[in-house]
Amino acid sequence: MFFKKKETVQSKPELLAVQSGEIVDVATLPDPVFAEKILGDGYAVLPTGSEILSPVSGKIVDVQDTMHAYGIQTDDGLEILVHIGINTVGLNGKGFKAKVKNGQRVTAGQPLAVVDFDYIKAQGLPTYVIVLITNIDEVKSIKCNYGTAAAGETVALTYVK
Amino acid sequence: MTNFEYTIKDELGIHARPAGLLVKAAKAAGCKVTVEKDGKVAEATKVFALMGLGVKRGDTVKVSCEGDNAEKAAVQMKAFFEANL
Repeated sequence: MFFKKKETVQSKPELLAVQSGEIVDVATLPDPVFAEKILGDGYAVLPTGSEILSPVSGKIVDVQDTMHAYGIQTDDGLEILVHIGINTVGLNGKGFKAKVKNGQRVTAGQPLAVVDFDYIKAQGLPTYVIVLITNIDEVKSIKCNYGTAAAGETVALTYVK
Repeated sequence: MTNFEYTIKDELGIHARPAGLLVKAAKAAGCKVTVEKDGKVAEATKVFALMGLGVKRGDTVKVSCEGDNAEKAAVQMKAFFEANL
């Protein structure tokens, strides 16, 4: 049957922009854990708005108590970390509001968190939102689309498994 | 298999940064390394598994090394925990 809909939604091999803003190379980030790709490889965006969207469809497998980092497992087995700001773990959740819970399913473009970036800036911390494939060994190659992106619309990264 | 217990001193526990550094150290150890907290075991080469343990300051974890280099790896991993966590 040509037009029968598939029961399961195949995840696309791409990561959407989690916020509108400039997509930059993680190698340029002011923190060696990200710049040296110790946590994985992906992209970073300098956000212009406050709502952080999920880059992929999948299942939320980790919401840190501090609400600054989110782990999403995609249906094709990738583990995507969305890390909001640099050194923001020390804020202990202040300035962050989680919109998802552990174990919940999300679709690409669905809000993960709302963030008070003015507060983060006032603490002297970088506001980059870093989106990484942590199990990067599962992926053959990635390609980032650097430049200006629109939240939930622009494909910021594509990968080949 | 060689193992040791370690009580976390770092104020923030195993969050993203130390998890990343731990993965790097575990990959370099040359044998299978696991971290256990309250019966939950995480492979030390997996960022999500480590962060999912929710290890905080004051928690005691059991680190196990299994394989050819287990004893040497345990010494390296212990040094890593003492320096970073």
